Amino acid sequence: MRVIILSWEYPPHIIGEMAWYVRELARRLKKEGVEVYVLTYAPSEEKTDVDEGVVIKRVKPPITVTTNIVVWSLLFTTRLQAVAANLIYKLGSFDVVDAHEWITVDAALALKDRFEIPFVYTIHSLEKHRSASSATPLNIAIESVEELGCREAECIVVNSEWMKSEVTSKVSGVASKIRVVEPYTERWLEGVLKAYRSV
Amino acid sequence: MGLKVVMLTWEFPPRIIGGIAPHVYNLSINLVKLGVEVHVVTCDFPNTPAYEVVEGVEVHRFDSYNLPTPDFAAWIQLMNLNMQRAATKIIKSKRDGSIIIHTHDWLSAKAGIGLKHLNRLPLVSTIHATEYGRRGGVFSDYNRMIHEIEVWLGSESKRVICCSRFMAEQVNKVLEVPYEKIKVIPNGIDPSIFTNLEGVEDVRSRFAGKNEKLVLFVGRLVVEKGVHVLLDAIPKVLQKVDAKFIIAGDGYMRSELVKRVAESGLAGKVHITGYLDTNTIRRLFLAADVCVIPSLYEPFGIVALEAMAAGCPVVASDTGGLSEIIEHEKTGVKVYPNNPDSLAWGILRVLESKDLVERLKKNMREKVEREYRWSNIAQTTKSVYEEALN
Repeated sequence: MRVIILSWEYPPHIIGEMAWYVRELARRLKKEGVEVYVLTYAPSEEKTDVDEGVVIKRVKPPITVTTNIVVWSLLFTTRLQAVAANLIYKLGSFDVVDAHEWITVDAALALKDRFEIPFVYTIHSLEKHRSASSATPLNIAIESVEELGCREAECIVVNSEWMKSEVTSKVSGVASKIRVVEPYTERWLEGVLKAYRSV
Repeated sequence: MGLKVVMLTWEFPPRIIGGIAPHVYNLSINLVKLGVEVHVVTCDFPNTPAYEVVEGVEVHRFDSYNLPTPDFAAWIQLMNLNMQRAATKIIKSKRDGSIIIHTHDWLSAKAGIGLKHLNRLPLVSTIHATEYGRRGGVFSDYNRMIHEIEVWLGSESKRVICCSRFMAEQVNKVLEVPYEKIKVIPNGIDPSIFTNLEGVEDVRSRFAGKNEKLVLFVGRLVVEKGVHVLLDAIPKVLQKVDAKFIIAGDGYMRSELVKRVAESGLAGKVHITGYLDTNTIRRLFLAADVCVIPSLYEPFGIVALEAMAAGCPVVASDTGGLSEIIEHEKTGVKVYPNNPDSLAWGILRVLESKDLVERLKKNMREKVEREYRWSNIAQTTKSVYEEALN
């Protein structure tokens, strides 16, 4: 099995828990024999690292202005698309694209549309949790991307039953493709692999 | 197999926001006449079909508001996400033959660049104007963001098309695109839009008295179009010639300009009409004695072409694309930008010299036929596609 993981956080670029989560997941997948390519954000230069067999492509966004996170992220994901496409043209297709959080939905969708690679959407949190009382134009845009991701993904992975109910209360008709996988437990990897194999 | 182009544009008739829609429309129908298969991928519009064939051009409209947000720049990028999805479907169904991606301005940069990499196809972009030029510099984060998208588009494009040498220089200096990649192809005009129009006299008598010369300005009422310079020139013209000044267009300066006209006692001689429909504008070009273009910044100057195609003598600022379209005292009269004395001189030069007017009319019709025919522009554009494929 060959997987692309899209995550804008990855050590040493750490915003929250997600960076550690994705690194641990990638390492464990690799130990299970899965070929793992992580595409993530490059704070300075674009480069490729290998960490315990996991290939990490650090990708630089095409613009430096970050005041509009939606514009910034959608241009970053265009670069992610390009780097992923290069991998695919070089190595052949992948079995799954696992996109973490709304930021990478655009890239996963483009790869699905073009190369027919199944799209797994892993949701760690929703915009309504991060910006609970805020409804600025950018919050609205992010929520619409989250909804698009939920509708277009073949499978949605969340880490708790509570998050599953949060997602289904926001987007109707997607409950049947949500899988609850508790991280860092013995059954974590099994749950993720089941999600990958289901698509 | 034949040449195919996927044309990415955020506006296409009947959705008309600025100059890109008519440009892409004319370019596309003329590319089809040269045997190019043209797919326009554009935003939806009320009462238009998702797919239609317009004069041989296949027009694909996608739902551009399914990811809503009031933030314009964010909406543009989300619209590009949808545009790219629509274009991917077309490209996947056309794997045979040579395909070019052609995008217009930063507004569809993301989709063009995404499609280029995902499909390994050459990207051609037309830069109609730059953020730097529109604002006279890069001042805010918002400006800079758009400017950086333009730089990115320039660097990702195999060829960049600009409408004038002035724009080519700006794209080279400001967006750092090497001259080897830049091709100057002017905008075009179809002179037949001015033939056999009825009611020209009616329009003339609606706007000007029998003994008044008719001086026409057409454009947005914004600083860079220089209408305020025209207002300063008007009294100087009226000292010598009786004339009516028709200022057709709308913009944020309108109320200020109306106030200035009233205060200067020119209300009987200057008419600020607001937005006028195309039919009236075309007849005004035919009825007017002179068309004034006092712009301070002008990447191309499409109004000059329209006036020339209608046979209306042009007095224009010697700036930007206008400098290249107008040859002084041959196809028009050039004046110093932002200089009311010079502008008044130019207007009087045309209004007081019948010989000059006859000469200008003959020369400008020839120039329009020779240099600004859409069929020629499409031919040159096709050769840019062929270069990009090699």
